[in-house]
Amino acid sequence: MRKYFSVLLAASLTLGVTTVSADNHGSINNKDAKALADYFDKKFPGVTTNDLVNGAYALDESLFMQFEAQEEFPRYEDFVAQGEEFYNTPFKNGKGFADCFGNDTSSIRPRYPHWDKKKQTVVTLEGDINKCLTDNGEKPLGWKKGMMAYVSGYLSMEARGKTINVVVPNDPKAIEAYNKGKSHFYRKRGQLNLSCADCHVYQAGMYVRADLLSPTVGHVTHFPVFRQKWAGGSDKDDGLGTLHRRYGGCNKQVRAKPFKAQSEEYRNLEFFHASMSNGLKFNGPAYRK
Amino acid sequence: MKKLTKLSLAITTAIMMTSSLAIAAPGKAEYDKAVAAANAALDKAASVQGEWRDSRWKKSTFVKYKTKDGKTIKSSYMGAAAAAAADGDYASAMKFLETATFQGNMGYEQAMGQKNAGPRL
Repeated sequence: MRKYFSVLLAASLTLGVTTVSADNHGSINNKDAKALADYFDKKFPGVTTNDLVNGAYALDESLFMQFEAQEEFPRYEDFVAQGEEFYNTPFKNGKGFADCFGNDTSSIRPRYPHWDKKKQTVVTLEGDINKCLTDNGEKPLGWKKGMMAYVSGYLSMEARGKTINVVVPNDPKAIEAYNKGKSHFYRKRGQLNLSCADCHVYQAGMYVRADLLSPTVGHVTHFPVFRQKWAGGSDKDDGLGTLHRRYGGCNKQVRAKPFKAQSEEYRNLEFFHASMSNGLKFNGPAYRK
Repeated sequence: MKKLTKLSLAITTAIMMTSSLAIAAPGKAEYDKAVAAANAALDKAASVQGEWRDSRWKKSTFVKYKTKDGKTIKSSYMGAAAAAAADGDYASAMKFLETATFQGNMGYEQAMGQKNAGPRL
């Protein structure tokens, strides 16, 4: 029987403990978020919803100690510094990212993902980073790792302590996109016939070989993530990767053909998935096994 | 006795000839048909986002096929089928295509069955 214990959010990662109030507007996503938060409250007594920003590490004391050791001298710091440098380097046309996103770097990450009424689509942070580049005559970055993850990591670091608040407006197309993302999350797929929910809702807290399955609530708060597995395959110890990189990996693991990063399928999934952490604080980037 | 032996021999020969016709090795024509059928099944699965990883995804390395010159090809089922066919090994190719077709059909059934999937909290 796994012992669950109450873990305070690492003080350095938060500005204070808040109670999740997911049902603040009665919107479709906040109702779903509250239902999930209540489900995990029952499943993990003694672990608050706010604790879940640390994922599986909130569920096991020894794992949390290992996580804290990794976060003491974070291996993603150099990459985040490279992202900051890239972000602050002017484009060839003299403009910069601030011309696209504004001067307050702490307010950028919390704006995403969001529904774009004009384009009638879900817009992600990575999508707008590349849009800013291409609109200014620069080459776009790869979606999953490298400089995209470093820039996204820098902006996530700047937004630490800010609250996630994904809004699904009362727009039929936005609600359709949200529901498509929700459907993706709950649909079994691949040769192994598993859904995202199978691991991260119903079996959260159980082990898959040596890995403790993390709950959905709190999943997106720490992205881009520094994954030990990815670092191990890199000769630069570069373990930073975006959310869509992880989506592809998860789909492959259940032997489903993955979708392309930043495809409509994954953007809709992010729209739903991020909503499930509404009310929690950003704490990325962060280490994960 | 001699008549019986001659008759037995005649019957045995007839059976062997019929059997050899029935289990003739597949050739390119059968292979081409099977490729078309596999792709049709996989396209159907793909139309409902139900395609599996190792059926024909270019980055799959799950299925292994050892070529005549000793190389091991790691690919999808369709990729392995193509490699086997290039080797003239249509028998192996047909087996890979059978699996690819099966996966296409199963992927489609799975996706259709999961259309209304939702939370069961």
